[in-house]
Amino acid sequence: MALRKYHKSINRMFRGNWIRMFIIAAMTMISVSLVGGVGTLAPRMRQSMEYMEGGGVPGEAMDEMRMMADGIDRLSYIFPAFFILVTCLVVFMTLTRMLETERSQIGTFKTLGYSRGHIIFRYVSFALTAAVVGNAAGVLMGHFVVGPVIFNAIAQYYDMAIPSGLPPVPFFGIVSAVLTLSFTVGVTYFTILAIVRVTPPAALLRPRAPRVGGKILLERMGPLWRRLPFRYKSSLRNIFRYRVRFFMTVFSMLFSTALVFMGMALSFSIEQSDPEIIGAVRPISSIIVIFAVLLNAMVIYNITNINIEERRREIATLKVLGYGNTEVVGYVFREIFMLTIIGVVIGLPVGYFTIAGVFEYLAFGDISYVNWYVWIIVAVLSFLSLALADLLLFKKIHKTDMNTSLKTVE
Amino acid sequence: MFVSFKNVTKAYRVGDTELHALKGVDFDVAAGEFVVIVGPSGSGKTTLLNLLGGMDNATAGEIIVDGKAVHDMNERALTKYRRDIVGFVFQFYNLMPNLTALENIELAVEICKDPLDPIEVLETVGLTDRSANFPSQLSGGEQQRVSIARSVAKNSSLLLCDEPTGALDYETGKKILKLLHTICKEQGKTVILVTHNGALRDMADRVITMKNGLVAEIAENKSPQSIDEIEW
Repeated sequence: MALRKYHKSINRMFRGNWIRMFIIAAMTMISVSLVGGVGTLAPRMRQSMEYMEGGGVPGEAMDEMRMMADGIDRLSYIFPAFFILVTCLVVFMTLTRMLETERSQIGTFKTLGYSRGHIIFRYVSFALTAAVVGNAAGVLMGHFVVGPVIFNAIAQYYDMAIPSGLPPVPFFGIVSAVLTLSFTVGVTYFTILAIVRVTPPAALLRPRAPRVGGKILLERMGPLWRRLPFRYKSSLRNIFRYRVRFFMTVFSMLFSTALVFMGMALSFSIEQSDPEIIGAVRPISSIIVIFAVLLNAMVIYNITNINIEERRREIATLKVLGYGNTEVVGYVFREIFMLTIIGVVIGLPVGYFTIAGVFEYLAFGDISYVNWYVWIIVAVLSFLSLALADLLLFKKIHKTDMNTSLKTVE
Repeated sequence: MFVSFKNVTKAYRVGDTELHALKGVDFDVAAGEFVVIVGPSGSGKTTLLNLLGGMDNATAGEIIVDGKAVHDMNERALTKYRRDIVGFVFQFYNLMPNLTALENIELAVEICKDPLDPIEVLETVGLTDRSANFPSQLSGGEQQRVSIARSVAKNSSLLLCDEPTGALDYETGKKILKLLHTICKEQGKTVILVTHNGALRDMADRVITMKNGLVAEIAENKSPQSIDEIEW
């Protein structure tokens, strides 16, 4: 009986957070499906080769295929690692910020007499649900959709046999799913634990220590700083004040941009340096690029979303002061825009050097074959994602109610 | 009259029920008056202030400020109204945490046609020394003074204050009230202050008592007392 009441209140409690959790689940799903899908390729190719050898295909052709399979194997270790890394970074950032906003809610629970274990259980079970859904969907999607789609494209190009037996066990998919799931739940657990340990409970209900005001490094550049319109001053201060958050945000943007670059570089380079394996590489790199762009867009959307939530009061104040919607939007997006620029400017070279290293590891591909316009395409894609995220969130700023946002203590 | 409310109603839809916050409010305020609106919580005084500040729309009735029909204004007109006519002072200051005291004022005047000089206004409220400090480095009273300076610098003719001393201690609160009163009389601004503290009636030129979404009483005070003499 008590258990049933319990589940209903979890739903009610988290209604506002569903979108964020959905985004975490979606990002997880994207990454895991890519990892899982690509991970099935080499085993599947080997299955196919066994079948073809049995059917009398000449040895040379088989040797070439074996080399290709080995290359794909190495690819499936490297790229997925990056995807999981970016996903975990963003999950970490989203969850910690999201759970921070739950402080007063948790304080209320404590004053009502809920035990620490009880509170932890609620939040962890919520995170667990989202993580299980995302990861399970990822494993299934990877195994039944991404993997077969890529494999069929490769098989068609090289005229390979499609094995009729059972597909290989989704080993990579499961491992990455388990890793991501543990990480998601772990972050939730430890964040909530820290909050729940705050004594006295009333401290959670009081407004958090106000954002510490202080000068950032940039302010020491006297003449340059003085000439900046203060809207930029505010955005810059906001970005640089919290180092941990700044680094996490920049890293998320950076790595997702690097991923897009790497995916494109892979395709462009192989086409020119090792054209004989392009049939296998192109489908993989296309999927990587699509997924990386999606991930990039989600990262930007998420960061912008979090920003708006946290700045609700400031947005409402600006409206009361008589700022129009466009100006208020500018106030928020200036920050995101600057972060995107930093992310792209650093992400592109990072991607460049990483893919150079990856090519070494793969023993095929050549960094010098990556055309100059790849850089431009990737930058453009990043800013397109930004524009898209902006459009979606414009409405949210527009809807911020002046009255309710300004009256509460927090 | 500078401000007129004519049979103003405001109803909210909450789920299936309708909540009537204002049920037909009538009052007038002359230019340059120091007005106090008192009433228990739930009487509708904050709603009234929100409507006056162009932050919400009346369900019915007329709101006239300086000859302009506020109730008829669309979003763009309301933005302009908030920008040019109204200065709002909140209970919780609502300053930008990432801007210094001076920058907070500059932020507000940047969009105004005919503002006062931010540095001069800061001096008026006695915070010249704190102009480079951030809100987190200022006391509650100082933050409220910056907030008041912000509204004054906009050169708005109407100053709306929602429980401005609600988060302040007794002494500091009194100083803030004195500052608001001085601004009203020396700069000729109309100040409308909402509070649940009945003792403040004595300092006002006009007292509007709210009860249950209606005006229960309007009293004109021919000889208002100085805040120094009022105790509570």
